[in-house]
Amino acid sequence: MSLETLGFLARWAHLALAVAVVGACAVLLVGGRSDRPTARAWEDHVLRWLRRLVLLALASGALLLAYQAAYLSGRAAAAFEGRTLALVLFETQAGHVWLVRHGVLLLLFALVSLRADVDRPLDWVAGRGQALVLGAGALGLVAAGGHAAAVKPDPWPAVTIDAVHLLATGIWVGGLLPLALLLRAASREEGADARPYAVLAARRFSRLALAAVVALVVSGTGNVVTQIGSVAALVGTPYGRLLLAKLGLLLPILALAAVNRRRLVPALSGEAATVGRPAMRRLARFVTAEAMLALLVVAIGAALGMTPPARHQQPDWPFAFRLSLGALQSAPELRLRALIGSQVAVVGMAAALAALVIRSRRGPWLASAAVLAGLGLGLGLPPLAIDAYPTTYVRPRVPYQAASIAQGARLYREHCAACHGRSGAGDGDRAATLPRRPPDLRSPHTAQHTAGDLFWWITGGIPRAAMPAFGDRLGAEARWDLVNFVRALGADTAARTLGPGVEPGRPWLVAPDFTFAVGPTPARALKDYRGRRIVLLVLYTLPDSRPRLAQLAANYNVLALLGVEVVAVPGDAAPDAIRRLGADPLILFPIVTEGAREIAAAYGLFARAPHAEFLIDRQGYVRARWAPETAPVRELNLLLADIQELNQEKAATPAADEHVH
Amino acid sequence: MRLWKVVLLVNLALALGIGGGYLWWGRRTERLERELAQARAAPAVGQREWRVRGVVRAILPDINLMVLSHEEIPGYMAPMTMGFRAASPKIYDGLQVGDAVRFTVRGTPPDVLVTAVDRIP
Amino acid sequence: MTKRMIAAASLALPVLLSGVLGAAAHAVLDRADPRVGSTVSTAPSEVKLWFTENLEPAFSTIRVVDADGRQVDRADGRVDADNPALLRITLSLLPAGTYRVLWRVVSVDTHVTEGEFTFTIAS
Repeated sequence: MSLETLGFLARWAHLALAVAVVGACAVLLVGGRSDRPTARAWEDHVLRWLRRLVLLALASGALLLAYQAAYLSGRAAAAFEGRTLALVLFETQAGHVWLVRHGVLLLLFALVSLRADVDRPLDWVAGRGQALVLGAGALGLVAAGGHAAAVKPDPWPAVTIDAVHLLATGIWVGGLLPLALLLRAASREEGADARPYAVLAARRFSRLALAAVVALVVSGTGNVVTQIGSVAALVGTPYGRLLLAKLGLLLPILALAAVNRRRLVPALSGEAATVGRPAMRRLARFVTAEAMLALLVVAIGAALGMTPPARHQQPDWPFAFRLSLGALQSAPELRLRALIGSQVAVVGMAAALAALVIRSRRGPWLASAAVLAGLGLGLGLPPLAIDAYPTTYVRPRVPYQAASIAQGARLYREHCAACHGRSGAGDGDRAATLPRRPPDLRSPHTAQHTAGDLFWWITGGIPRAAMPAFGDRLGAEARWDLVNFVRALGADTAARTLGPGVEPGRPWLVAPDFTFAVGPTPARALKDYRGRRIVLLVLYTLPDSRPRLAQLAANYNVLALLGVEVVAVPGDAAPDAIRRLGADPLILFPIVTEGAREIAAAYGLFARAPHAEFLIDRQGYVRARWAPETAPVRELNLLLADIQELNQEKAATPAADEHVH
Repeated sequence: MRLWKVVLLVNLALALGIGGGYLWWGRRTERLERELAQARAAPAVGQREWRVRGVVRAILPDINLMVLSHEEIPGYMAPMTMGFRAASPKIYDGLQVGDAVRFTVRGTPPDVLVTAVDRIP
Repeated sequence: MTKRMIAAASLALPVLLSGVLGAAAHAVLDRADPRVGSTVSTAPSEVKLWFTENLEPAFSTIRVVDADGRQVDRADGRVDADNPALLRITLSLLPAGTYRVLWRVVSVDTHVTEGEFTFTIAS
């Protein structure tokens, strides 16, 4: 058995035991103190088990610690090395959490081993209540050492939500087996004295479990949002698929629970011999089955804790299609169909809601609702479907950066231009020999495909269009460079619609990130200015640009005061650019001497002119572009007005991701 | 002793322990942080010398000022473009805008002077 | 019948799940300085790696080696005091050449990730 399987088993056992401890304490408290002999015997029985459970939880916790030491240090032998164990315990956050949790478990063990006199109600409540509090502490704190604790920047909301999830599991799932024990004991002939107590306990527990299920759904949704975050991550990663399996397993459990709650619990108080006792026996069986299934759910929960969260994983899209509203843009004739379909589906869902509210004639209502919803979705969804590939939602491994775009441009000229044309118009020399003319890569159509789509085509080719596969000719990074270049080509067309001034509140054109250095000073990135400064990127050519640079230099103090950094990039990427500009005028803003070639190559795509200026806001979006061919260089007063416009904007838009899509 | 009293006492002890521990630990962290801040500021005491790289952006010998874009001056200044005074007018000789240089800064911050400038070929 | 099926399923589950767990290799490296795979013209004095999650300093290591596998860092790899997601190590003055950065980090949710990349110092 592999180390990992051992670790998983220890984790599963520990989690299940901690859940069972909380459930046992909760059921005892929910049932309350009874003077019936059978109920007393049941309480003693549960307490005996509670002691064993706590001991086993401590033991499995120790195993888990040994596994952790071996896993973190990468050596199996480290599981028994005092030094490594101490390092794990005292130097890691998970170790601190382990110490606290096992301290609490020890305390709980002492409490349940205490042969205290609990005949008086206050003592009883104090003892059982304290056990529940300690058990809940040991279970809830699991969240502080798991995935939730790694959420950045502030882990505490996620940890709290996860703790609620764990506690609700403890109360509901953990309470099932002790309850089944009580029901079985009370359903026997000789346990008749405890029957009213059992009925009461089952009713109270049923209400509590309903609340716990609601809490589970709410906190579980919160966990999904923080750890998964997208449909692609849900269906395309091990973590997401485990979660789907967990949800699938939850369905039969919830069905059982619903039957129990609606049919069996009300029947408990029926006439003893014919209704009450058989119902109680069946309830005990059903509750046991529920608990067994729930144990599997806990196993998946333990596995989830060991699997990297989907958010950081590359999803592997399992379907040959995806749904996108973009599909309607190129096919206006389908819009009406999609619209009608969506409306029929909405009517169907409204009917389903109505069926849940109106209690009479529920069957026909539900059936017609299902038919309507099915019809509507069948009508409305197919027009939205467009082709998708396993890599469709993969995030680019190489960020959308000037250096990557420049490298992609070089590779494009070498490998792609023969068919796709030098400008990407699809008019290469060999285009005429192809079965199908290559598409215009500059058209807005390109932007509708994800970076992952482009990566798939470049890697595997498109056989029916005679596009060759580059997967075995170019490395993955080179293919991502090409993707970034094609994205920039598409963005170029879109950039032409930028007006001469800043459009308030409409950032959409992502500025490719770049790194630059001035002389021997350390490299800086455009990203470093995020949230701090607006960047005026100036691509210049001497001598024509000299008057403009002199003007910017003379007003640099004003610009700096308004929160602007000017970054000047020599179009010829001369390494002695600063010397060429000379001592007059006095220029103090960064003149890029390293990285200029890449910046000029990438931003040159957006403005093919000897002198061009880009205004990049604090979120990393290009907000205005000035190049003599389209818009004259901005007069200084107007430029200052644009900058003021950006300064007054509230940063509502999230920062531009360096990844596209 | 009755159980509820035991539970109460244990919880009180726990609360006191956690509260006291937090106060002690929190105080200690605070003290350490203060000491760290002091330690970072401490090099300001006494005269120090640094040798760092930069590029010349402007030379104004008339007012004894040279502007350098320089790398980090450890313990003193982040990388930035900054004006410096020279210890002697001779230092300006032969210096041109755009020269990559390695220069020496000496003094007690913030009173520092450039004492030597060597061009990096 | 049901019980037997449940028993069978619970036995099969660990096997199934261990298959899933085996596939858990994930890159949490967010960015690096020098950039992954980049060519720089001046020798960097330090290598910095930013990760997507905060790191456990006790179990996070980094090494920089040259083309022959000789260690060229100053063996002072550490997690930054102010930014627990930043791993850094200083370098001796390096000549032109290609260098490999190897890292193995533990995030605060106790996941181990390993990886490496190269950067080149141009002559």
